[in-house]
Amino acid sequence: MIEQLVVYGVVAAAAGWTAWTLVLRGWWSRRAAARKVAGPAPGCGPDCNCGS
Amino acid sequence: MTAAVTAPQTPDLAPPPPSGAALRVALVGNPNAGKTALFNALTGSRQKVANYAGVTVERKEGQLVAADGRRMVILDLPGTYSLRARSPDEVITRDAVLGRLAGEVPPDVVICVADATNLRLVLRLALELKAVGRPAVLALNMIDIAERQGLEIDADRLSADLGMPVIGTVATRRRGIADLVSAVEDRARDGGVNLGEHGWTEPSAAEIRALHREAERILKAAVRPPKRPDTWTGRLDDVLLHPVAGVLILLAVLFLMFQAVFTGAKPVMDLITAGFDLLSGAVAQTLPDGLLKSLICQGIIAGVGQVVVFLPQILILFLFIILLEDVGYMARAAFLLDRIMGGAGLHGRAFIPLLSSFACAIPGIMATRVIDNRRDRLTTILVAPLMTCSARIPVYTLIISAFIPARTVLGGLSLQGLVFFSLYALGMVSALAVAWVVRKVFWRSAAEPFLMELPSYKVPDPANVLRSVALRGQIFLQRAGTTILSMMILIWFLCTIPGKPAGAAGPAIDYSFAGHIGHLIEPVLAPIGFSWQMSVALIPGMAAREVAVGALGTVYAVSGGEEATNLLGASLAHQWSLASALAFLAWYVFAPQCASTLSVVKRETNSWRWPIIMFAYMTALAYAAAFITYRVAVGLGAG
Repeated sequence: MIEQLVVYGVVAAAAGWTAWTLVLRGWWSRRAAARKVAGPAPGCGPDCNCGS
Repeated sequence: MTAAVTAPQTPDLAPPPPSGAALRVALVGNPNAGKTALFNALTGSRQKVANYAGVTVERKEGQLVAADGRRMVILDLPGTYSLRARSPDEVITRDAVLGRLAGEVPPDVVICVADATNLRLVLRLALELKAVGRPAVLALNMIDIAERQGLEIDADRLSADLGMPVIGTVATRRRGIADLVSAVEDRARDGGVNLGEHGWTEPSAAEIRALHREAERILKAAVRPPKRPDTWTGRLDDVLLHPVAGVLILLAVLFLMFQAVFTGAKPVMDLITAGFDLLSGAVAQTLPDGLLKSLICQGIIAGVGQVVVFLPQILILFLFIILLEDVGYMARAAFLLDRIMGGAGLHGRAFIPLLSSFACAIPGIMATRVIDNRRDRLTTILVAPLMTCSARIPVYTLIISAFIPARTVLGGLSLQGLVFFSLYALGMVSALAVAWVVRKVFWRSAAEPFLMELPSYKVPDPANVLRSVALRGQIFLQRAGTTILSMMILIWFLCTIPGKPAGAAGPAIDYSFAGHIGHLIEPVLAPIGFSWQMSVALIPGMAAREVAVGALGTVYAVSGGEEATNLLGASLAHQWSLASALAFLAWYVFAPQCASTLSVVKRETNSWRWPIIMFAYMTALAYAAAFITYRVAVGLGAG
């Protein structure tokens, strides 16, 4: 039982890592870069929670 | 006063503080002037320094703290001859200097980096920078070589004519760095008459010519040529750039490189396989039979081991490439191949990206930013993945070792090495043929002229060479330890789960997920001689080509180490026909087996159209090549 848990845990971690490296990381960095270039929304101060 | 510029020794610079208002400094200069070396000397960062035009295409930033505690952020910009930008990387440099680059803070001071032995073009650029109005400093890099050549530079006169301080530096030895930092601080304090980004307009061709005449005048007034010019470079170029002898020498160098990759790496590869063999044996003895043992031995050690074993070959390939770059031979190779590449409709500058693609198509495609004409650039991007990247080496080596006899032909040449070279040659010829079809059939336009400065020959800096080779090894191992490791675990899972049902007759893998997937796509690939096991290996190979080798190992249920490598080859030789093996090699020469490459093409072209076109034409080529190879081989009795 423990052996199966360990094995399937490793497989799940590998699946997550593969999805992250092949797909999600690129999407995430593009999103972060787009936000950095766009900058905060007009009137947005340091305490603003608008998400921009 | 006429005197050679001297560069004093530099004290060590303190590490950067965590915060504080920083002075932003941009490095601008002609390609190959030593900007990257100066960037390393200023910031202490580790980065590729190559004796080759157009190497800096990425944004690079570093930090340093001046003697007075002021923090500086240094930006290394792509090389350019003028602010009248034409190629994408020249546009980046121009926009960064003008403060127009999105997401980039405008620089407070610009360091114009000059190759002290070749000031003609950089003086014109310095005059253009002066016209922008940002505070600037001229760094006369490689001043030691200029002194050795007997070049006399009147720094005071140069400074007066250009309106900026002139500092001699030797970036590779960190000479003159403290003086340069001090001059930058002074300029930042003085400020400049900033006509700035709003007042600047692109100079017309007539204005550029006028600036060039002014640069010539300053050059004559401030620089005295050596009494006895150095003729070593000229003498060597008489031979190495000879239309016949030069090409023969280039072919010999390339042939030697590929032979060394195949034969020179063997002892170290044997050591690595022995290491994995020991590891696998130890784990197998320690763990009881079960899923965990199978995962570690057949999934992780066998899969990753079969990829890591090719590290020596990759290091040897890069050692050659980096040495040839640092010596100054690569620019000559580009010059020699320009006629051949021009015949196929490729621009001479395409040599740099295509050569980089021997390592990996991704940096190759990114390096196409040095090509200014859009159609030239797109053509180069489309054919770059046809150059044999290092990820194909494990696949080629495995199949060649299993199916091509290890004997010598044509008076001592290794037959396996010859086949290996032929696969590389096939990739190159195909790239030229596809480029020819694209440029002559689809995009008919006149070829752009190729202008490039040939750098002086230099003795490579061993530390730089070793650092660059080590960096390549580190990237490969990182990939093996992350992407490839996770892929191998997933492949093991697909090949193992669900287990064999009670009372079932066939091997367990037939009942696994991988078995089902393989049987599903087998009919499509059967006409080119691929079995379902081969089809399964192609799927993870889409993520990284070299994973196909590990996948084959796992699919054929062979455990790790030396035994695994040998057994995998023997297993393939036993289960595949020669026709299928040759078809598999033909497939790998052309197939777009790399998702990362396609995503980089999308990023660089800002469109899905080009990766889709690339995927379609390369898949069609791969299928056709594998089909023809398989059918011809079967016809000749190799089926």
